[in-house]
Amino acid sequence: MGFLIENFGAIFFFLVAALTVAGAVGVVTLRNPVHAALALLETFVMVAILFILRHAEFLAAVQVLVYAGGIMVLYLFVIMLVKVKDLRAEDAFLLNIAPLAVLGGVLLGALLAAGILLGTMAAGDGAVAALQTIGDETVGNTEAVGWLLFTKFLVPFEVVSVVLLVAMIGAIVFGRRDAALSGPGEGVEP
Amino acid sequence: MLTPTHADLVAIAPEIILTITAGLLLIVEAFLPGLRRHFSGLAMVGVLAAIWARLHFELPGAVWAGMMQIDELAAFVDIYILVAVIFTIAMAGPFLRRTETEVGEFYALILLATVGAMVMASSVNLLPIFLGLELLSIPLYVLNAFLRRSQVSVEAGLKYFVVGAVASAFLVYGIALLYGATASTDLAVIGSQVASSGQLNPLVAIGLAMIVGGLAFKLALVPCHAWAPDVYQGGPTPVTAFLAVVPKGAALIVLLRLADGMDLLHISPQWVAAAAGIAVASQTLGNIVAIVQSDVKRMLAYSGIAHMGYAMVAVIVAGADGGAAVLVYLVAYTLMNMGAFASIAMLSEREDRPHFINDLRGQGYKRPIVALALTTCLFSLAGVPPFIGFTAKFVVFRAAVNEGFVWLAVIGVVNSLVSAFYYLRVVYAMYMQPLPRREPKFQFSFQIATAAAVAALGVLILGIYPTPILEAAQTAILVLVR
Repeated sequence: MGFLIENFGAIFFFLVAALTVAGAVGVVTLRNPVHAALALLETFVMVAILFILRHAEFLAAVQVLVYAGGIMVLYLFVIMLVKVKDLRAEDAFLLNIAPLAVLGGVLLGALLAAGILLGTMAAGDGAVAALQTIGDETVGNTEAVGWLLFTKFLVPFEVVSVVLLVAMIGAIVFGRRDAALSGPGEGVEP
Repeated sequence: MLTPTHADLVAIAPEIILTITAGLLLIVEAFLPGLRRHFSGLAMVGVLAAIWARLHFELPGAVWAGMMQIDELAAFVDIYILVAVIFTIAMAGPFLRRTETEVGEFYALILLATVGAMVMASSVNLLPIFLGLELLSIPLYVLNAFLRRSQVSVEAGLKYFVVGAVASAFLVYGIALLYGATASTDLAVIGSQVASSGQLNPLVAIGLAMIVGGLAFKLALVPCHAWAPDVYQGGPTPVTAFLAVVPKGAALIVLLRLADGMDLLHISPQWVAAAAGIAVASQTLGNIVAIVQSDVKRMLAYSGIAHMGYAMVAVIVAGADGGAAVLVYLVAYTLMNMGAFASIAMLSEREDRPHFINDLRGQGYKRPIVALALTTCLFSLAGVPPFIGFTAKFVVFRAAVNEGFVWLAVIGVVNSLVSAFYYLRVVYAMYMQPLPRREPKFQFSFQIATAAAVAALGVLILGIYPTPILEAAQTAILVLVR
């Protein structure tokens, strides 16, 4: 019992981490798209808990609001609109390479685990304090994130906004039904 | 307190100009679609203004809280990227009119991808490097599938998207591991930690391997090359030209910053072995498989794989010699490929059909200027003097020999000899074989012919008189190697 209490943090972390991975595995293995979406939702929530464990409360809240809230609803809308009940079985080619893919994944996982165990973690809990200090002041996590976003990380922040704009333009290019894009041109064989 | 200064803003003036031009194109597209004919001109003005801004304003060094490093190296890379974009836009205008897909989004996406490449190449922090790569990649997924009615084009877009997503995942995982090991995403901090410990922490090694893997996808190096032929073949030719040059250049610069920043050559024997293996495999596989291609664009894809193999040799050598060699190689590679793809863009009937080498039979006398430009670029790609391709290979192999990698240089030279076969086969078809009975109908375009001719002239002139490029590259690389 004493062991459980002493290592509560570590045990909780590994439990949440295992559930995150389990949800991710569920996303790719479940045949029913709605089930897969729910597994994804579980992964999102678990990642939010991982953020809380690292004292990144703001990120956790954003994770739940944006991913579990917004993006998940969008996925479910799309699944319901296109009415996919079950995915059809994979082609023989894909099934043939599946063992190789699993082997590759396991090897990669083993490599990562070995690396993480052997490598010393330079970033300890000291990094947590950095999430809550600006200059000499101690502020809330949200304030600190906002401050960093608009000072030190201003350029990456602006680049992200352009990335989102580009994604939107791309979707419009594919979605538009315009004379310029649907003319005879060089089409597929009539 | 960290507030943006005048120097910060001026340092990224070219990026800002390009972003504004892209936005302007989108707005004009929405409200004045009648102006579509002038879009390539507008995009061109934006790129020229960006070049002017980069040359005119002084280079401040570290800006934006140390995220970006706007120095001679960044300026060199920016200008080479922007020149490549000028060729792309020059090719794109007539091409889009021919395929009836001339809309503002095409140019806007090209310009925004350029901004991504420039951010990537001038950042010294893994965070903006990753975001720059995303900004470079997402427009290219769309642009490859731009001819929506052509199945090969959509296939190219989809393949590039899937592969690009995997590459991004590798890269971001590698960055996370490096951050876990060093508590920093700043290349200088990571580099100094690695240098002070004198060896690679296993976590750093794995993170680095994943980053190199992610970049290898973008560079189409063996074993991450499988996407290249299909994407090259299917995408619109101006996009292929852009894709062949700009992302590879930006990724090579990031690799160079990593290799030099951590002094991998001297610290890690595994890095040297792995990178040398990748370089040799890319050269050999690229050149051998290119021999059996019957489609010019697929052949150029395999040729691109081989050429990145040569460039990797220079990355391994690193230091002042290797770094300068990478830059010279990039300039040469850009000019040769732009000339070749511009010629191919004109020597094609229908974009969704393969560009067979057989269709080029007899074109040497039918279309002398374009055929001559293509011939010049192909000779240069094969590394024949006096063209710039020879100079670039010479600089790379000389750097390799000086650092004691004689075997890499020997393999490179042997590979160049093999490559001459398939490049010259195209030249043979153009000049030594008669026109086919059913003569292909190629539309002449003055603009594309000019682009091809200018690139070919550049290949020739800089091949005979390479001093300006060599000197600029040496000055630029001194920033990195202190």
